[in-house]
Amino acid sequence: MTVEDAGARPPAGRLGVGPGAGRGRAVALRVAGRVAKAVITLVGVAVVVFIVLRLLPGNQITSSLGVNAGLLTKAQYADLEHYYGIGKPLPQQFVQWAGDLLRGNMGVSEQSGRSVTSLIGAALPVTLELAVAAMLIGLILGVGAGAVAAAAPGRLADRGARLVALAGLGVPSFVIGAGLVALLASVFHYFPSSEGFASLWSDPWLNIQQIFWPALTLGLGIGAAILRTTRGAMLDVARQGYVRAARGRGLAPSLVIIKHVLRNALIPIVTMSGIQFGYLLGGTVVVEQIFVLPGLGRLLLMSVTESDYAVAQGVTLVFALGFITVNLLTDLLYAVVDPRLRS
Amino acid sequence: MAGLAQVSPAPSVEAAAGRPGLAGRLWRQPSGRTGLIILAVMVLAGLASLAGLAPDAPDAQNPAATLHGPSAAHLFGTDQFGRDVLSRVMSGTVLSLQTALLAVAICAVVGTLGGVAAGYFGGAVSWAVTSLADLIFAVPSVLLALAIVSGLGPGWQNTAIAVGISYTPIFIRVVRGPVLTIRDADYVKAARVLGFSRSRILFRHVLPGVGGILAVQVTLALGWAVLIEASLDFLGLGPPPPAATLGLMVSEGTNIAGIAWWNLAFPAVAVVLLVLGFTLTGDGLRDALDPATSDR
Repeated sequence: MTVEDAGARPPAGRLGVGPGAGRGRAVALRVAGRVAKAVITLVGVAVVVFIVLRLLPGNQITSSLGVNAGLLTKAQYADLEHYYGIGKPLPQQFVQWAGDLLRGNMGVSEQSGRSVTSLIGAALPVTLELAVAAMLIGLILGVGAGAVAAAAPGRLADRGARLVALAGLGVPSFVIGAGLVALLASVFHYFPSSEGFASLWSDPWLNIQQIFWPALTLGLGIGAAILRTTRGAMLDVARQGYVRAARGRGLAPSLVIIKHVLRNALIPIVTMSGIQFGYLLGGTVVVEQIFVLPGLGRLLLMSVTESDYAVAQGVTLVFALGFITVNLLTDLLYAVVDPRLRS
Repeated sequence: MAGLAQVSPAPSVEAAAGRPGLAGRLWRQPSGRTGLIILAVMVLAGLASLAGLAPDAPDAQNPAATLHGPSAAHLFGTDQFGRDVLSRVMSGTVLSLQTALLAVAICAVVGTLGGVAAGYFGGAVSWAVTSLADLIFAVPSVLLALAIVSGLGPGWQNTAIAVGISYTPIFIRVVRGPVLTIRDADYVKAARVLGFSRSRILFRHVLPGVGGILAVQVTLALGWAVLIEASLDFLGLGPPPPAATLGLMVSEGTNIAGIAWWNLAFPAVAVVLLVLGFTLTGDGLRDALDPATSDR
């Protein structure tokens, strides 16, 4: 999980690439190609999920109704078979299944009897809020501490930051989360989740308390990885001639670091943040379980332990969609951060 | 005995003079040395447990001594069933290590073969392998491992298979790049001209070229495997109780941490040490192989 060597790019200087009509088209082509690749990957994931569904014992009827499928009359069973397209050739079944998916029909939960779409709709905002909060905490801690560490390599602050980063990488999120829960409960007698989950709209203050600790749990791990990347990339950039030139011109050291070093170290930081998002999605399963948050991760874990396949597939697809989208955005962001890639 | 040991001088790193070997360079790295020491302690603890040297059997209950704090009789205290926490941590370390070893054996072999094939043959093979890797990569690995293990059912071997599959794309990616370069190296071209068989070229000429990268990746993967395995156990998807897995012990320890902190602290520290040990050794190994990155 230490992908700190993504960095080491030369400065994003003005290399004198003139603007022109061809440039805009090239950018559009690149973007279109990248979007197409993301869509193809997503279709591929859907195909795999579809095939796994067929490999499991039973069919959609038994998977959405469970043992109750035995109570169906022949006519009802035939109706359902027709509805799901069972018995048709596989490609045709896939087209029907994918069409339902695109219309937002992901089947019905065997356990709760609710539609998978409505379950996901209820859980998604919680996980989104958690993910955004964790990413913010990780970025603030990681880039901030990384910049401080890189400003004076080898000094006390640097050594301290590196030690903390190492601990952040080595301590799994479930250990941090378990430790935080135990600490909050036994030392401060505080149980953030004891009152049931409050949404951001219904009770903002309680909601922030409930989201903060799990977000911190995830953010520490992300922050550690971003810290290492930030520090490494900034040290690479600081060796460049134009940074020395900027110092030679008498620019304030803090201005040199922010305007010249940090700005040009952004690409590896963006890469690392994109990679960390995948870790974040996986981490929500663990952290939502510890802090009893009714998000997608907890929904996935419950559906998996209860063999509620329709829900498990739906959530997996949503996670894959989120992950692929973020990877796509990360790639597109390069063009914004690095002017050379625009040419 | 002690006298005999002193007669033969211990082979020191310095004695290797000039260019120390890879092990020597790894030992000279602060991170590598720390990692190796941590791993040695954990492996010794695991071996002691396997040899029956643990203070107690990991699932031997003792109703007369439930939730006792750390003492001379129970160095790490006892849990709610009066089981010795130290013995359980030692046994959990064995489970973690064996799961991680099997998982990494799976992803290293499959991923390396896939990566070598994709890099060396190119074309359709490369397309098929990298597309498959991209697909697996499109689902976050923890979620993938979770889905696979729930399909396979509980058990440490199934956990290892799930973790192994989810890490395979990383090996494919890491191996494929260097193989692309090695394929066109003069010594490989020479081997082709000499008419060596394809398998001989692949295993005798191409594979050794990625050995260093593989060593680093295997070490880092071991740390990652321990982490995911413990997370799955923590979520209740690992071997069922009374198996002493570190993740399950942390999970149970959280609930009683207020009255018996040792039930949470010691298993948690064991997980952290295992993950850190492999990560530090991997970092040190990378620096030892490539001195240019050592100041990072």
